Formats: sequence, C-alpha cells, structure tokens
Amino acid sequence: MNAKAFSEALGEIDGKYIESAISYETRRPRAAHTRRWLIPLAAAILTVLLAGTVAAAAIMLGDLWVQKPSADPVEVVRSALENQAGKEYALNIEVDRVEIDEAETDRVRERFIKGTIADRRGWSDAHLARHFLVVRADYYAQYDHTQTTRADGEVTMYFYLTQDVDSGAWTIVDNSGNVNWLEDDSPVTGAPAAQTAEEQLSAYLSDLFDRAYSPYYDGLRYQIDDYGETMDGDTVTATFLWTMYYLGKGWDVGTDEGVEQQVSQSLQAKAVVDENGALVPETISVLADERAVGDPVYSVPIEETFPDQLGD
Amino acid sequence: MIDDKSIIELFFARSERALEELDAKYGKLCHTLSLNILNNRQDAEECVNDAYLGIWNAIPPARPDPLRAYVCKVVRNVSLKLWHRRGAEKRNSVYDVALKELEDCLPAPDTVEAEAEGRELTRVIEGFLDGLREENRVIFLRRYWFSDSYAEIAARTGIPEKSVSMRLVRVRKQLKRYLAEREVYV
Repeated sequence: MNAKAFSEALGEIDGKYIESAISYETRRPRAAHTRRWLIPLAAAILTVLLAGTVAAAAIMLGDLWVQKPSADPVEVVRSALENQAGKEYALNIEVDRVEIDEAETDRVRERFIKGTIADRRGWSDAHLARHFLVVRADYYAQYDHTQTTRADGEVTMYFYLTQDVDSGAWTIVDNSGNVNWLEDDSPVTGAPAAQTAEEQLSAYLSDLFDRAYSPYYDGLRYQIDDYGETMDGDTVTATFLWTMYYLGKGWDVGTDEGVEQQVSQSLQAKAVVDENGALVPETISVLADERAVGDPVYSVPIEETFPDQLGD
Repeated sequence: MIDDKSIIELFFARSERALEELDAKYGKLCHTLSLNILNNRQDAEECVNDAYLGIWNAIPPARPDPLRAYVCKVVRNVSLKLWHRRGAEKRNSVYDVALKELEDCLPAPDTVEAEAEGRELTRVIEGFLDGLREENRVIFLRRYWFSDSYAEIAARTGIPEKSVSMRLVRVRKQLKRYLAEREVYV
C-alpha cells in the first residue's frame, strides 16, 4: 500500500523533472565543473609525456593503477579498475562503463599536447591521432576508511593512454582529477571534492602557490613526488617533495629567459579529514623543511617562504 | 511537426486538429507510458484516449508549459486509475515490478496519522531528486515514474542493464535513508 502512495506522490512532482528525464541523452555534455580538473591534470599529463617513459608514469601513479598494457585501451583501463578492486583498502569497485571518449581525446590532444610537447617529442599530428587516447570510466567505489582517505561514491574518471609504436600496447600514463559525486543526500552543488588527500593537497597548494608566484612568473605548474601519508584518528599527515616549475626571467643567467626552471622543497601537511574523505580546508597546515641536508625538520609555515616582492 | 505553442493555440481555438497534432507528436510516448503501467494494449489505448479528452477539457483555460510533461502526467494518472480499478487482476506490468522494488525501501508508519500527506510527500521526493546526480535521477524517474524496463533505461543512458539494476539498488538505499532521517513515513 505505501509504495502505491509513494508512486502517486511521485506522479505529482514538478514537470521539470519529467521533462529532464524525457530529454536526457546518453552522450550529454558534461557539467562545467568537470572541466576545472582538466587544467591541473594537463600539467600532470605534460610532465609524464615530457618524461616520456612508462617508468616515469609508474613512479607518478604510485600503486594507484596496476595495469596490464594491451592492444585494447578499454581493456587496459578495465584491468586497472579490476586490480583496484583487489587492493586492501577497496571494499567494492563496481564498473558501470568503460569506453573511449573521442571528444575528450580530441580536446586534450588539441589543447594540451599539440605544439610544444609534440614538437619536443617529434610527434606529428598523424602520430598523435593514432597513439594517444582518452578513455572514460564510470564506476562505483567503496573504501575502507581506516586505510584510505578516498571517498565512497560514483566516480567518473578519464584515463590518458599512449600507445607503444612497436608493440602496439596501450598504457595508462595518467588519470583525471577524480570527479566524484559523494553518496550523500545533500544536493550536489559546486565543485566536487578531489578524491585522495594527495590530490586535495595538490589542489590546495597549487592555488596557494599560484597566488604567491603568479605576479612574478609565467608557466607555473607543480608536481608532488615521494608522497607518503599516515592517519591518526581523523587527522592525516603527509610528507612529500613539492616541485614548482616556472619560466625563467633570465635575471641571473641570460639564457634562462623563457626556459623552464624548477625549485623543490620538502613539505609536511596536516589536515582533518571529514567523513566523506574531504580535507577540511580551515584545518590544512603546511610546513617546510628548515634544513638543507640531513633528516627534515618541518617547522617553517609555507606562507613564510613566499616572496613579498621578488625584486628585494 | 508543429511546436507546442501552436498545439496549445489549436486547443484554444477548439480545433480538433489539436488532438491530431498532439497524438502525432506525443502519441508514442503516451502509449508506451500507459502500456508500461497496464501491460495491456487495449487498456493503454483507452487510457490515452481518456487522457486526450481530459487535456481537451483542461486547455483552455490551462496553458501548460512544458506541454510534454503535462501530457505525460495526465496519461500516467489516468492509467493508474485504471490500474487501481483492476487491482485484483494479475498484470505483471513493469509498474507492478517497480512497485515491489519500492516497497522494501519505504519506511512504514506506526500509525495512520503518521503517514505523510500526498503533497508533503511530493515536496520531500523533489528534495531527494534534487540531491541525486543527474544520471541517477534520470534512471530513478525512468524506472518509477515512467515504469521503463531495465533494458529501456540501459538503451537510453548507455549504461549496461546490470549496472542500471545496481544503480537503482543504491538509489533506493539512499531514498530509504533520506526518508528515515526526515521521519517521513509512507
């Protein structure tokens, strides 16, 4: 009886819901907030592509995706997701859909790879057209929150693959910023949370460094290496090597002008993690290593390392 | 095919062409919806005709926008009335199966007084729908509003049938939790 009452009440919902359910199309354009992750991820793609080796990809991806290179790019992604399901921290991974996303492939290829990157690698348009792909995967994930900060819920992930010309095997070189809709009753609004603590810290620091250094430098991009984290109650502590890339001004060495430079520092970040795996922004603190050699001593608030005026 | 505004103008002009145009544009949608509920072509045909008559009587003065959603609502309501009237009959329609799926996820009241009123429940449902990801909202509505089969939903969304089923299980769990937290009993 109560299902009938529910069904009748459902029948009276506003026409806009009905209209949207009728007009929904399978390959609808993605929401704008998906796009915001493509800019930071583009830097990651460039890093990997510039490094140009699968080994570099493996280092960057850590143990996130254990994959079986194959002639079928969809199978490569599927195997990576299946391997994810075997991880201790993964309680459940249900793959809904894995497919090549032609539109996204074209967009990433045109916007981020063609030009400088392709020139340096000696890639022709024809090579790019044949040996670079974006594969979209939709899946549902549940994690053991005593072991990981990753959030539960439905995930749409874009995988970036390159193909070895000789063997024909495709390999995942990177994945997108984990657009994750938390399985929560609250309306989904605003930007989705980054999925891992590392990604959230990367986003947080990128924003912080952009604000500090963009008045002085062009071509800013960032990278995290040697990342490690521990959980103590609801607080995550992470240590990692943070590298900032920028285009040199040539002030000290004239030939550096316009050439990409880099500076690295060891950082320790702490933050409270909420029940959805998101870092609570106001609790994030980042300390820099005060020592140049030996074991690190994290004592300098990152903000104190920023320039007030670079010319001073 | 003429646009919705022109169809409504034909209704206002009391032209019988209004019904012809309406049927040409939305007839298939209406028949599928009614058939999913009743699982009987003759009954579905009868309900769609009754719905058209209801729409003829309602416009004017009504000027529904969007027209398509309005027409679907009328067809659904008329079809459900017949479904209730013939409740004792075994139909095995998609609607029957969908209702059984919903049964398990609806918190039952301790007393009749505790039951949510229809309009109040509708607002709660809208709140729940607002919180769903678009794809899940569409899957939920296609199943429980339109009584589509899993195969039809899979074809519409491009998601495999098995995944549609898993998604619906998860959304129903969310619904159960949503209603329980708000102490809404049906």
